[in-house]
Order: sequence, then C-alpha cells, then structure tokens
Amino acid sequence: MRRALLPLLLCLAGCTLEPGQGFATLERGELRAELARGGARDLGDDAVLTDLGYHVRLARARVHVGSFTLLELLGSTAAESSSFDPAHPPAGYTLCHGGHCHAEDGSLHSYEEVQAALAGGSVSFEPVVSMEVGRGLDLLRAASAPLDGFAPSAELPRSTIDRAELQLERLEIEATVSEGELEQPVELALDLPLSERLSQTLGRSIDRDGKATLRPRARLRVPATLFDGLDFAGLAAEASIAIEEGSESAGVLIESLLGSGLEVTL
Amino acid sequence: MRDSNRCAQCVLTALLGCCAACGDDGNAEPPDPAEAACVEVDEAGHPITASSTRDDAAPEIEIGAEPYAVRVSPDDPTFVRVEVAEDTAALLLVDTTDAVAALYHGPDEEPLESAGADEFCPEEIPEHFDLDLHQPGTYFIELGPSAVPEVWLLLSGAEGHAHAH
Repeated sequence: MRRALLPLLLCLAGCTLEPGQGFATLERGELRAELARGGARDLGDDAVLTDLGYHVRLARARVHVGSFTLLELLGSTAAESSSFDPAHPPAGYTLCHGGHCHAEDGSLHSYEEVQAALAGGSVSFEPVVSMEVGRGLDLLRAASAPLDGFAPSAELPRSTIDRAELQLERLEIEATVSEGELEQPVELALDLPLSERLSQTLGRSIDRDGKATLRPRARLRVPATLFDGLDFAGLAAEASIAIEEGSESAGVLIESLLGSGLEVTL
Repeated sequence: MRDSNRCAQCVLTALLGCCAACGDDGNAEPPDPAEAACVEVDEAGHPITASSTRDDAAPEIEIGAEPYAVRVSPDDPTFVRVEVAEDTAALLLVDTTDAVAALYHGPDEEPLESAGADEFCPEEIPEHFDLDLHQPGTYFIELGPSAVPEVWLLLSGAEGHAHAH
C-alpha cells in the first residue's frame, strides 16, 4: 500500500512545485504614440498653432517611455477610495486629469496620493505586471513599441487591474517657431528629462471567468496644444529658443504633456 | 348581470393597461443629449462671430437652443457668452478638437477638461465638455486661435447624459 501511495504523493508534490499557470496569460502587445492631429490647431505638415498664435513646425518629436505597468489597488478601505472620480475632483482639488490632481494650494498630487488620502492613507496601487519599453517613440510617425518582457511573469494572478500606467522618461523636440510675436522664425530645441507618469483607470478582473489570454494595447495621443502657454518671443535669444530643465517654461510644457490621452485595452 | 360583469372587467383591464402605459412613460429616462446632438450636427448652425474681448460684447449662446456656427480667429483667442440664472449642468458639444480653450465665470477661470468624443457619433463630434455652471451669472467660453475658420457647437442641458469617465 505504501509503495502504491508513494508515486501518487511524488506526483502531487511535483505539481505544486511547478511554476503555476495564472488566471490569465499576457501575450505580446503594442504601445503606439502619436501627435493628435486634425483639430483646430492642426496647420498641416507637422505644424501646430498655439493658443498665443505661434506656428510650431516640428522636425522631431519623440517621447521616451520607460515602462508600462498594470496595477492593482490594494488596501482595507479600497471601496472608499474607489469612489474617486477624476471627472469630479474631491474637496480640496480643482482639477484632476492625466493621472494627477491640482490642489487648491497649487500643488500637484497623483491619483494614487488622492485616493490614498480619501481612504485615510491605507491603500496603494501595487504593480501586478510590468513591461519594459525603454525607447523613444516618434510622435510624428505614430511609432510603436512592443509590450512584452513581462515582469515578474506573463501569468497573471487572480486580481483586479485597476490602473495602467506609462512611465515617461524624456521629451525631445526640434522645431521652427514663427508668427505670433516673433519677427522672424526661430529654432526650438529641447531635451527634457521626465519622471512623470500617465495613467488610465481600467477595473479589469482577472479570474477564471475572463479571457484566458490578454493582449495589452496602449495608445498615447500627445495633444496638438502641447505648446500652449509658451510665449516664444519672450524665450527667444537671437535665432534660437532653449527650454531648460526646471524652468517655468519646462513646467508649462510638461503640464501640457500630462494632458495627453492614454487609451489602454486588454 | 354576467354581461355587465364582463363589461366591467373589460373596462377595468383597459384602464389598468392604460395606467401601466402611462406609468411607463412617466418612468422613461430622458434621451441622452449627446445622442440627440448627433442628429443636430447635420444642421449648419446659427452663424455668429466670437468676440475678441471677454465682456458683454461676446455673443450669447443659449442652453438648449439651436447649434451655432461660430466664426473664430486664426491668431487670437475669442469668446462667446453664456448667461445662467441658477446652478446648471450643461453639455458643450464641438465638431473640432482643441477649439475650446477655457471657461470663465466672470473674471475667474474655471476648471475645464475635455470629456472626449461624443460616444454616439465620435467622428462628427470629436470633443465634448461637461460644464458645471454652479453660480448664477455670466460665463465665457474661450475659443483658442484656430486653423479652421468656423466651429460648430451646441450647448445642451446635461439631463440624461451619462458616460464612463
């Protein structure tokens, strides 16, 4: 009898020691990034009109993305913080968009911070799976990058994917600026390091009732209003414009970038 | 007697049926103005020219009225005016993205964020805004400099409008 049971026990032990199959499996997906064209600011030929009447003709526009992450909201009072709706900012905030809220005192707070504050600081978004991107995407050509290299695993545990997040690392722009208050065209060149994140709320349950395989697709649409609020005539020195890291102008530009649309499907 | 009972039964049944129908109508939800706008977007719109100044010179646009074809500037921001008598939730629907730049209540800028395309006709109405006009008084909608000379817009009451944010 003991001899008969031994193979069965070994088999069961073997099963539990093997890497477990998840509740869903991620397949290679795609991230696409582009400049949103076609609206009131589209002058054609990669040129956009700003709110101050400048024409910005882009020769190069690249956004560098570090990673794409799917996160779950964890905490004992997640239900309270889940009532947070960016379209209706909670008391103390004037506007929530692009993954952050503007507090009445002018400070910026991520959705995570706002939700944690609403729930008494007892909740947090924790990564379920992350995908390394690590490359620059050409916004003028609607460039794409694969979403793979799933860490820690393509096999997803039972969870709820509450949010998708894109980590931005750098913005590169080369352009010629004209019109507005400028007497002659000037060259604009900037290479701004970024540590901002763009996010989208998802609320996708990962369980046995859902699809067995999921393909993440993300689309980043940088608005044609990217250069709004920048008075290029005031920034121009001789025939060029430089926007330095940490400057007020850099802040205005980053704020506009954070207004980009992020569409994510699984 | 039996006939009169039957007759009374018929009348009662008809009345109940009628009341039930009335009840259905009473509970019916109002149509989503975003859906109704998809029909109106085919209308040319009442022509107006937005003002270069944010004051009473700005043409008024009325909530729930006809759509407007607003002539805008290629170089400077321009304004239209909305008069509100009480706390009002409205829906601003626009046929051109990036045309609407800001919302002011008198001299004060109010939060304004695009709510994206009209889900019922995203091609025709690629942008709309949920406006919370809480205070009575005059609001101004700023239209940014535009590469297109004219913008179609419609301002509807928000009753019946819902979408996932």
